[in-house]
Amino acid sequence: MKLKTLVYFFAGAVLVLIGFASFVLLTYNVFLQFGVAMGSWTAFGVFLFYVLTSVPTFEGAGAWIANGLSAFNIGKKNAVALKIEHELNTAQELISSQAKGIMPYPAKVEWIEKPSYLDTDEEKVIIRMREHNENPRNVAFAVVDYVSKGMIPFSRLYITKPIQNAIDATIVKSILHEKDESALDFFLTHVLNQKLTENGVQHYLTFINNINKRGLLTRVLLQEFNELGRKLYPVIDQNATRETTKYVEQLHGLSTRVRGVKHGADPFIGNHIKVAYVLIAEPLKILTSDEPYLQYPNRCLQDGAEVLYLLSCGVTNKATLRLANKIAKLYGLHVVNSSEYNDVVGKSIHKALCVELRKNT
Amino acid sequence: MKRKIYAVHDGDLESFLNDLNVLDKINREQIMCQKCGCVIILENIGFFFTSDGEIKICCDNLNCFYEFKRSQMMLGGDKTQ
Repeated sequence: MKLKTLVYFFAGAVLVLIGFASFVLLTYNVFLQFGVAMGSWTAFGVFLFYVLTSVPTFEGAGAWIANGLSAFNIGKKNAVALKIEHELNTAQELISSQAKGIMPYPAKVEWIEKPSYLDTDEEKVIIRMREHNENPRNVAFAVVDYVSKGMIPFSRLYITKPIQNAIDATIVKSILHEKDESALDFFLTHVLNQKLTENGVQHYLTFINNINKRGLLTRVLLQEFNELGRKLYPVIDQNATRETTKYVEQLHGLSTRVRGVKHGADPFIGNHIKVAYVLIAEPLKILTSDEPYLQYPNRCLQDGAEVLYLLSCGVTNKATLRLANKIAKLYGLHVVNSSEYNDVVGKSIHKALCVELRKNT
Repeated sequence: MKRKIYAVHDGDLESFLNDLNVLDKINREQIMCQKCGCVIILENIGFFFTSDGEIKICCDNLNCFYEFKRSQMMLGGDKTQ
């Protein structure tokens, strides 16, 4: 259980305890007893409403409670909306913890009752949501809408359609896989299986899957695409599209590289994407001597790299974090993201750490 | 800031269509899906969108929605709100 979740539980328990304690301890004055107990339980009610409708971890429970109230129209709608918000916002929190900026905003379902909402020149889309017993279908539609709208929106111009399809499918799949297996089945049957027959999709889906297994999809690939979109959008640039394709291929090479092999981890210096990787197989070695780990980034930066990713294996991550701070200080970089993850190599899973260092701009 | 997902609930669907003045046409099976061309009936309505000031209706096939979102993005970013 996360610390934030524990804090919410603790706050709720404190409010309830104050309510009970005031009954017992303030018996000498019935008005004081009534006032404090009611105040505390009213605060608890407001607090409970807030966490059940706005905190991703608890929105699932909110949807479940709303199911019980589905005899009322508001209960029916909340059973659908809270379920969708719970699925999307817990995924959004997870992805944002891996790389800030890829999915910057949480989702909210807004019910439209009157078509006057559509009476503008702006392009708008409204999804029909069915009753809560068809939530897998509702969630699948919402995830597709959210991912295509909310993920790297400014970079899409510079990514080929098969790669976009492969990235979206992988992200949608990983969100639904963790959250809702029935919605995943719905997505696989209605979209992905049909997409696989399209030219190039299967090829890049394998690439993106391999990159994702190594924990580099959100932390490295989408982060670089996001930065590229922020630099170029809305200028059309065919060279950038070629560059993103080459970069996917290069990162796939790194993801499938056999440990100990010399090549495959070379820097990628394009016109817009300028990335180097510092691979740390044994973080404890840094404690003995960090000199080689300091010289290599310097060479990469001199060759044109603007971003360094420190990819470290094992659970001794303090040494890697110290090294990252030292490199940042030495070469005028700053630590943008740092996250631990499971690195899947074949059938084995290792703990790993990715630290992103970027030139100050 | 939050990313809004606009939705119409099943319980409000008929009155929504009535306000759009398309309920009769749908009952008479006169509307086609803008993506796949299938006949739209009450059961298979999937989503609505605006294009060139007109309101369009698509079916409930997730693939149509996926294709619609793709085409929006290929036209220079998703502009739907």
